[in-house]
Amino acid sequence: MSEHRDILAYLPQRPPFLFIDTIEELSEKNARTRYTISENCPLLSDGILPLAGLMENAAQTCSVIAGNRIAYLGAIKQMEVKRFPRVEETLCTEAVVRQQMLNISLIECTTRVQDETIVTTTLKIATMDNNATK
Amino acid sequence: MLQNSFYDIVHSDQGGYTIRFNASHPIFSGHFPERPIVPGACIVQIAEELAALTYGYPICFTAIRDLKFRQPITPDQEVTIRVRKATESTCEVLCADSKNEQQLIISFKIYTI
Repeated sequence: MSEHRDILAYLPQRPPFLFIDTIEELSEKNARTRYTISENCPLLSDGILPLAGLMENAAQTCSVIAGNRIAYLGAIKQMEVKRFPRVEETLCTEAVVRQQMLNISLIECTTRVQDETIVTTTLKIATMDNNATK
Repeated sequence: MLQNSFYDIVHSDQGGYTIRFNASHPIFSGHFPERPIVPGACIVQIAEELAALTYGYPICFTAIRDLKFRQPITPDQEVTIRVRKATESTCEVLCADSKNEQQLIISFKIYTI
């Protein structure tokens, strides 16, 4: 569990559905995360992380920007996978807020393995104040 | 592969699959601990598995366009997922409540290889 120590304060997801290990950078407008694909990842398919897993990694990276507000993935405008990563490879995913209107953010995500860009995603995230739901 | 662990197919007809979730699957303990909800990404993974059944050979989703999540899905909810081949390399996926297929929950377009 200790490897998830940094992330648990920022996301409501818990293992085995956690697709981020650490937050490398965080501001109001961007976040950069790392995730080493675990062999226990529930979306692994023959040792490869399929599009669905890459989507969850991007969505959770976007959610980190929301901080203690609740973030909902509302839409994915586009997502393109250039290469599917294997178990044990480390994803570095960067999310940048491009537009914001009321509680909806349009966010661009890029996922790299070392210097190679393997996924680009454009998502819409809606946020809600945490206390509004309680 | 999520089939037969995270979900089961309870009915199928002409490219449409009605599925039931396994509420005791570990995914639900992480998404979310006090409020289990079917992760949207799991619906995409399930659609990839159902696309293989629809087409009769393995399908790999490589790109998505215009995915919309309209409402959350709870573990006790049955949904019907339809994969419609649009062109040689694209398909459309619709996920609706199985009791009322007019009530669309998730829809998206997929590029495949």
